[in-house]
Amino acid sequence: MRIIKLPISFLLQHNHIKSTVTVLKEVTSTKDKFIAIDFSNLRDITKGDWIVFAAQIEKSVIFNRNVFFRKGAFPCLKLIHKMFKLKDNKVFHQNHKITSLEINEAEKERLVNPTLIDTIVKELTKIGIKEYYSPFNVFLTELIGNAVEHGIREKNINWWLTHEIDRNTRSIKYTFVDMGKGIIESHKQAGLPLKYWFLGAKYVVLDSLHGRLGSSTKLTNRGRGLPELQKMINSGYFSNIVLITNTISLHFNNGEYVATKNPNFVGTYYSWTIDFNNFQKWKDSR
Amino acid sequence: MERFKIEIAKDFNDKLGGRWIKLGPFSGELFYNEVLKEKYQSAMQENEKLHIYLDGTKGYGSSFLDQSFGELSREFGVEEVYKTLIFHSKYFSNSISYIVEEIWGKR
Repeated sequence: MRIIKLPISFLLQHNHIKSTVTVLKEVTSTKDKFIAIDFSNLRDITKGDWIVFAAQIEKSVIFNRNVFFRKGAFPCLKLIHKMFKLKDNKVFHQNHKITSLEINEAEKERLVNPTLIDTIVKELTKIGIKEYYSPFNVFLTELIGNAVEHGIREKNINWWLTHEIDRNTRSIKYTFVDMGKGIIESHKQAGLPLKYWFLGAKYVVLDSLHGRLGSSTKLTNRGRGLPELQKMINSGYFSNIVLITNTISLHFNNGEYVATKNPNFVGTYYSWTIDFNNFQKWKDSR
Repeated sequence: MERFKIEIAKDFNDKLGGRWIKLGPFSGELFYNEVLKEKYQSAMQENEKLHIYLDGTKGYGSSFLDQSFGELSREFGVEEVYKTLIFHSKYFSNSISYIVEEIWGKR
């Protein structure tokens, strides 16, 4: 049996990303069938980070047929409360294997679902944002649309979304993870322009965000979705952006991205917050 | 009097989807196939403008806009489409700019 010990801080933020991604990678790449998770060191985790861990466990169970156990005691109550945030516990998840050539109408309703997206946007009323926040609708439609479209190509749609409401600061932190290949790997598979083999992985992600790389589909009218999201980020409509994909993580700070390297995270992770300042910036721009 | 117009929220839906029909309901592709293309052709035949009203929806993703208004320009030519369509919106001027400048390349 393989024992995976969670670190003291299991957080996809700042200087904890490397150790956290190392653990995530272990969950899906170990050759042992039986895996025990040891929580004894764990002191800090958020609901969003827990969801990413759950996503890796699910992937491991489905694709590698791993069996999971717990080693030792449960995490303490305080941590359990943080992980599950019982009062506002909403997790949105889609794991859909594509087995036939055509997706039927009932299945399509569940893919990029405008009604579901609308519901998620309306949750902002819980922090006092009463007017409908259109940029967030657009943001979610693009993220989920990308995850679904690439998922269809890979014959498996798999994404998770959750939020953590902070009524004290009147903000909501969102975590979205697309359990596909990741931005860098998708572009590599599609064929990267030669210059990126010299520039490095960081520029694949940065240039995707700024519209300089184009789409992994290679169609000239594509590859504009991420740059449009980036414009909204530049305008301050969302805060505390973290993007982790394959071997690169990006934090958006003071108008630019700070990039760090990490072990390979198979997928694309986004986290961001929305508060009243973001909403006001959008209102002022109209 | 506007003989040819589309109020997207009323004539299609107020909650819009992604790019392709296969991705889910109220996609850009569906809007193009079922609403936009036919109205455009009708307006063209009569040598009239087609008025597009954007307000009333929850928002416009770039994929939706590209697969509808972008596809229209790819099928019928940017110049003709640019001459024929007139956009109206109080709240989505950014989406209009995106269509005209980014998708159609008219800066």
